Amino acid sequence: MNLFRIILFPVLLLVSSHAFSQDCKDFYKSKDCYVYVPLDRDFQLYNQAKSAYVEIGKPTIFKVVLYGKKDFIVGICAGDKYYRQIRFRIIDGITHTILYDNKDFDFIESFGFTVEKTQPLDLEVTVMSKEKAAQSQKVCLGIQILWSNVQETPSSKK
Amino acid sequence: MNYSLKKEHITNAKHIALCVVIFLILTQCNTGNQKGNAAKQTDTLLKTENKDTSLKTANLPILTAKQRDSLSKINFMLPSPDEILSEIIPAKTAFNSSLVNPRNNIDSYLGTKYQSLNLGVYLTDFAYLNLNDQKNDALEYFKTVRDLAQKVNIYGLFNQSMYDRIQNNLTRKDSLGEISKEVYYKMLDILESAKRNNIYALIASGAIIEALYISTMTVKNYTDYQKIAEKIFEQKYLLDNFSEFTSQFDEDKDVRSVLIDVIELKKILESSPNQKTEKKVLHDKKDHIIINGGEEVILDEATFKKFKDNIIRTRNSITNAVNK
Repeated sequence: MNLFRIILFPVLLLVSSHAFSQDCKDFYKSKDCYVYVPLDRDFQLYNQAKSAYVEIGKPTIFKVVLYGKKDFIVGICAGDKYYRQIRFRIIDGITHTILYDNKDFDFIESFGFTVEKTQPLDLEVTVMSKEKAAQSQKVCLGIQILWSNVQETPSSKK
Repeated sequence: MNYSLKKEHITNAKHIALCVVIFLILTQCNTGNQKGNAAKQTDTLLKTENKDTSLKTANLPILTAKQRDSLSKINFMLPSPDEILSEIIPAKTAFNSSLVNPRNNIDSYLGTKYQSLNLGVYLTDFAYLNLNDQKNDALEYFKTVRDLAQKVNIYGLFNQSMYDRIQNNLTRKDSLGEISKEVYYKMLDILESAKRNNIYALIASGAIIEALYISTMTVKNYTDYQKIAEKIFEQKYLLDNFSEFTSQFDEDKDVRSVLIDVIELKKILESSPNQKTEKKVLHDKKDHIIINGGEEVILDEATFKKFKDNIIRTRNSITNAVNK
């Protein structure tokens, strides 16, 4: 019976690690990561969406170039193993000035913004948890960006 | 009797479990790549062959282990060729069939470096044809992409359902654009999962160089095509991010040689003067923010010409590589 246990353990380990990595790879496609878009707008996926295991409490940087004169919606999500909040900051890729912090907006996980001129930005995401047990644990994080051309308002038309 | 039956069951269970372990180990090795072993062997060979011992002589500093480690913690979200082309080239710009790399060149790419680079080139050509409604040619280029992908051991992407999707969407430009993006990103995903980052970097380099080549060649007359020229200059940010991403794999001789070309192109675009306006974040209705200001490129014909000459030379050195 011991041999059976010896065999069973690596089997379970292999199955779980395989299932875990596959789950995280496509996590951004899951219903946990659903991004609400305005029904009257045509938003499309922008750049390569990403999912990755991250350590709770440690910031992860996503570098991106956002093209000008476009509306963007960023959606972030994380596995819900622990009660958590996701902090998200938009940082200027050149001057490193913080342009946006979702801490000021009740840690919303999906929001829209407009970019006037093409620019490099660092999207900094930190999964936070008050639970001590969660610290330094890894959780799956997903991020996706959607874009649409800027909607012309009467004042913007010349 | 019962005891011996039970013993027999346990022995059978052990055999089954042993088979399951062997099966799982074998399938685990193949994850993300149906011919993972072959690919790994090729990459190991490539790494051994390409480990450049004379790197210090090149005019590009090698990253330290610490720099490499900190870069590996950054996630780069890069655009697909489809996204670059649609950002730069306006929808009504005339299609030019002479800009794509002829399909019959595929037979002249024998080494992994040029097979990977030109796979990137053909992926961009596929996107360019899709964007311009060149349906039949797009399908032929898709086949070329598949053939070259197989040569660099990328499997599991080009199946019948993908062909069916293309066939069924031939009349829908947007859907073909989505498929083109999907093929590109899935291919990069497969390579990333298989830890074949050198091949990833080469394919993405080929794709970006071809996208910039096609865009630049669209500018026939600088004065009349200033909008496109401006968009091309803005790609300095993309080249900056991309060269940072690629530099992680610069121990590979092939990646390093392309990286030198990419940095050269980036430097030309960066040399153009620009006007900076203070970046401001404005809040309007319902927490919607507008990121205002930034850099505005001041167009400079001499810099554009220099970039054009350089991108033509770089791109042709990839596509005209015969028996390399």
